[in-house]
Amino acid sequence: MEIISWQFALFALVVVGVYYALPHRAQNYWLLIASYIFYLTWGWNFALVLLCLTTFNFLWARLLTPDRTRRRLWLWIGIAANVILLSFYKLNETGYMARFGLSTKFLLPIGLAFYTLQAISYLVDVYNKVLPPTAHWADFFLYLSYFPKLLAGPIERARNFLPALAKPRVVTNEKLAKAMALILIGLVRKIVIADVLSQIIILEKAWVGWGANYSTPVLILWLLSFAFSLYNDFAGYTGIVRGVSLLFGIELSANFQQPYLSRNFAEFWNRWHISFSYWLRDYIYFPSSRWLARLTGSQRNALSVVVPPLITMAASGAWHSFNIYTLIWGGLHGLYQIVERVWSLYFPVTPPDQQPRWRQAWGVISVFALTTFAWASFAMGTLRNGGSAFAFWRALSISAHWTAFGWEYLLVFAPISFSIILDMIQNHYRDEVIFLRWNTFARALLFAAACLLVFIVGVGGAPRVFVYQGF
Amino acid sequence: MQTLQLKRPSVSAILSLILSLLILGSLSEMALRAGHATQIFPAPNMGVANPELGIKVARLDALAKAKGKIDCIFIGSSAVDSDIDTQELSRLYQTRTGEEIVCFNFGIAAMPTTAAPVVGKFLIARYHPKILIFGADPSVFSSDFPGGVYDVPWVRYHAGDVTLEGWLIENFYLYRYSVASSDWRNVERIELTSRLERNITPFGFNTYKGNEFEDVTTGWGMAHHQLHPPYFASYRELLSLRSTVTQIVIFELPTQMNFRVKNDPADEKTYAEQFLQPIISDAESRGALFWRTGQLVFSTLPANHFADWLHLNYRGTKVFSGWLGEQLAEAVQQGKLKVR
Repeated sequence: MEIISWQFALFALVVVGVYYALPHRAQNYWLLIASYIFYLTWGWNFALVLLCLTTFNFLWARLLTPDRTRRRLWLWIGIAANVILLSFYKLNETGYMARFGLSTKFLLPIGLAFYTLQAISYLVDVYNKVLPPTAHWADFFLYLSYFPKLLAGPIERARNFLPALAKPRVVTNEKLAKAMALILIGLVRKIVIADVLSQIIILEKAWVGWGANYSTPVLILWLLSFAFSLYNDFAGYTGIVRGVSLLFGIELSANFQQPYLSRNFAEFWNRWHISFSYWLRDYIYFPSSRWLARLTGSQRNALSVVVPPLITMAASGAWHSFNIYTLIWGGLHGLYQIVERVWSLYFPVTPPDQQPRWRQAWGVISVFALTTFAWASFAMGTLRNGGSAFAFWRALSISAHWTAFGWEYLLVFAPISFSIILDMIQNHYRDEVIFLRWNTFARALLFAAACLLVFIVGVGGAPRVFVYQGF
Repeated sequence: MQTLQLKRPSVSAILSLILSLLILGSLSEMALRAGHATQIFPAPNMGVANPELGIKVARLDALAKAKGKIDCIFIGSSAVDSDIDTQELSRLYQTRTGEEIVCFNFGIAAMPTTAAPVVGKFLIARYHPKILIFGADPSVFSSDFPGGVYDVPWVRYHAGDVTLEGWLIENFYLYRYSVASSDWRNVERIELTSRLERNITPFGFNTYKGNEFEDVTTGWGMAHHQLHPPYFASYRELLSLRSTVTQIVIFELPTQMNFRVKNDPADEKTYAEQFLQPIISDAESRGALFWRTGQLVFSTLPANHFADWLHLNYRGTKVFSGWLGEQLAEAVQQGKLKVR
């Protein structure tokens, strides 16, 4: 059941309707049942994998309480079990397993990459005594299976999510309005920006024979379109599921904060796929930095500066897909962060907010340009028909290709501009639903315009599958 | 504690929303109806993947309005689309009879025979032509014909089968353009549409072929194409559209001589017996005229009049359209067809 479908809308309405009629504890059981029904619509074997993984982690966490011996060993076994399961499916997807005579008939369960990280974070947090292992099996099962975040996150932490489940929830007019606004903005981002961009430039098709058939300006526009389409696709998804979750009175984390307005790479990773970035930071970057600092005795030596960002971003690349190009993408971002870190070690760095406007603008442009450059490799590694990233970058520089160009391609600037304006408004007011503060008529007019826009663009064809559902 | 703790929303908020939707919806509808929409967006596709349908409907609407009548309409697939210059046909007809005839070419690339009855019904209902002429070639009766789908709600609506979607597309421009919205953001589709807009004349002739020539001497042969039963059933359904108002004519589309003679000679016999014979006999038994082009191919349509084995180039189109005009004139003069 796709998130943007009549079936999901009906499903969510029924679940919400029954949910409101139930007492607090029963609501959790009801959400758990609904979540598994939702997952079963994607495949019974997916639900089985989720059930096994959840049961394992629920029981395993009991071995990590302070009163247990060999806690460290149990933790590593627990982490390894989760990583091996995820790696098996990821490797299987690439076809590597077939080379060793292993089966290729196991499809990667949708959302596995997301709920595996949540399970690992739970084990580590229990080990670190951040939270005790939960006594409520239903709450833990719901933590991993909660249907609004099941397919592609946000990657919630047990330390935030489980307490929220333990408390009674309240849905007020304000929450309902915010939920509607998040859903509508999400739909606009997905249907009006991301899907339109991918249709103008035909994201998948462009790969086949692009070197010979597409001029350099078209390749540049293609890359720009990919950058904005990917962002709005994922941000749109997150907005919709956060809105749906808010209907239950459960707040999910924000995953994006206008990342293309970032002025340095540290800021970018605090604004792009935030729940995943923070997971990487807390469970890979910080531990590896601390370990290296202990090993070398300093946080300023070459190893401590170079290794943690590289390991972290390589893990990020591998998490997306076991593919050389996603690793290169991760490596590039690791490199950007290393350069930024080295720079900060030798030159005093002013916080972006205190920099003059021109330097902030230069930072935004530089970060965006380098990020977009790296997206080419990410795209090659994650899209079907992906070609060679190196060949793509080479084709970008062939001056002979600067001639052939259809003006129709400039259409991409309409959704791109829309995305930038929306981001600038949200960024300026530091509020993703700033529109709710407008007066009644302005709000109604905007709501109606957004509905009409989604209708006009959406009725022409089924929306494309969310990109991050494929990871 | 109760989860849902909502206060009653203000009446003004609800009214504002309804009012905004009405205002914006009406303004959009008015803007689209003002006629400027087609200058910005390609013609709406009426729910069909091929933009040619929308363009041909727009051309035919304009012709019917300008002339006040449509005498004959040709339907069929790409061969009809690019082989028949209806202006040349009308010129020859007028030379022979001294009377004007208004004919339109409604051939659409990749239109399968299954779509012919519903498209024919739609054309009769909307334009009341005196003659509906269907171009038959073996490929469109073959099971491997890669046809598009034209049996869509809007066409069905005009063919007399009222559906909600057909009604919405017909009556609400906002919905019509929304249905087609995926087309005006697809660069390849925009390019195709503007090419078709350039190539299709006001009389429906698609001039894209030029004078290219391909000498086809190899291939699968005429007998490769068998009469696929569902397509043949649709052909019979098309023949049944004959009425006191509209007469039906079927004609054999010419195929390149080199292609035919250089293949197995037995192939020609199989073609005549297994393809032509059944469709001729069905046409005649249902009171439709059938025009064969066999001899024409061997006499006045040499191989260099073809763009490929099935499609004529400009030279061939001129000759063939003239020939069709003469056939039409002769049939009218002999009382076999009526255009008044």
